[in-house]
Amino acid sequence: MADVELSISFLSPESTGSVPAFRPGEVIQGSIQVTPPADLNCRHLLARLRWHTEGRGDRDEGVAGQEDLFQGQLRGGVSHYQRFQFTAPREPWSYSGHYVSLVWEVEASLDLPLARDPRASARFILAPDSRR
Amino acid sequence: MQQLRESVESKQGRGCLVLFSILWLSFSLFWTFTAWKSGAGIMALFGLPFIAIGVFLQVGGFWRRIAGVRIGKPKLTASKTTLQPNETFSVRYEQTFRLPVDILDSRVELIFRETATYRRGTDTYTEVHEEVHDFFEAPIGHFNAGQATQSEGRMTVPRDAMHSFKGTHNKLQWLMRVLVNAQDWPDVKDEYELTVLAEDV
Repeated sequence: MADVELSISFLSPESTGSVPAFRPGEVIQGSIQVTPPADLNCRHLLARLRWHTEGRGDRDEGVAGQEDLFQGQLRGGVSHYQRFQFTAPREPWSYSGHYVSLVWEVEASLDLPLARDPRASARFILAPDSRR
Repeated sequence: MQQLRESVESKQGRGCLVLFSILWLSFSLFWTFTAWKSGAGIMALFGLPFIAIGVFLQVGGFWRRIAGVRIGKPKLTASKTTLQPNETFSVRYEQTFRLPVDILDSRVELIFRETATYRRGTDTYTEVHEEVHDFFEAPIGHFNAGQATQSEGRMTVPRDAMHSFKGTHNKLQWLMRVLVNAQDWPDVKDEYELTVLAEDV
C-alpha cells in the first residue's frame, strides 16, 4: 500500500528566510492535509507543538501543546484538511548556536490501527522581534 | 546590590577532579608499592608515570585553593541577577590579598556559554563554547598582605541575547567570570551565574 500523504502548512505567517516565524504568545494557525491512498480508519489525527535541541549534545525535547483534530473514516484518494491552532509559548526561543540549536516544529501524526503511524513535521521560528 | 554566589558547576568540577585524582593516585601508589615489594623493580618503574599524573591532577584539583593562599575570595555584587535582554546592570568587585602578590591582569567578564553533553558508549563528553559580551578591568600591580581593591563597572546584556536555558543535556548560560592573573602564582577563575529571562524588549 502506498504511503499516506501528510503535509503541514501555516496560515499567514511572517517568515524569516523560508521558515515561518512567530512571536511568543502569538497564535500559530495552520492546516494539515491528509491524503490516504485507500479508505482508512483513523483513530486519531494529532497535531503537536514541540521543541527539541540539535547539535553536539544529546537531545532535549518538550511538548508545549497537543490537539486531537480528527477521528473517523478517511476516504482514499481524497485530501482532507484539518485546521490546528496553538498559542506560542513564552519560551524557549528558537536558537542556533555553536554546539546547541533549539528547534520548534508542529508535528502531525496519524494513529492507525495495526499499521505504522505516518508522521510529518514543519519547523517554525519562535522568537521576539529583537532576535529576528 | 545582591551578592553573587559562585556557580555550582564551577565548584563541582573542582570537587570531581579532586576525588578522581585521589582514586587515581591511591591506586597508582598501591600498584607501584606492591610491584616494588614483590621484587619487580622494572615493573615498579612502570608505575612512576602514573604517580606523576596523579600528583598533577591533585595539584589541578587544589589549584584554586593554592591560589587562595595569596588571593582572597572575590566578592562580586550586582544591582540585579535576574535580567532581560538589553538590560544594563552595575557590578561591584571587591578583592582582598592575604599575602604580597603582583597582579598582571584582573577583569570581570560577562559570558554567554553553550554546554552540550553527549554519550558515546559508556563515556560522557561535554563540549563548551563561550562568548565574552562585556567586561571591565580591575586594578593591577603590586598588592601587600591585607590590602583590598574595589572596582565597579556597568554591563549590558545584548539586545538580541538568548535567554538562559537548562535542558538535561544542553545548557545556555549567562555568567560573570572573575579572572585574576598573578605573577608566579595560580590564577583565580571564579564564575557566578546570572539568569536572563525570556522577555521581549
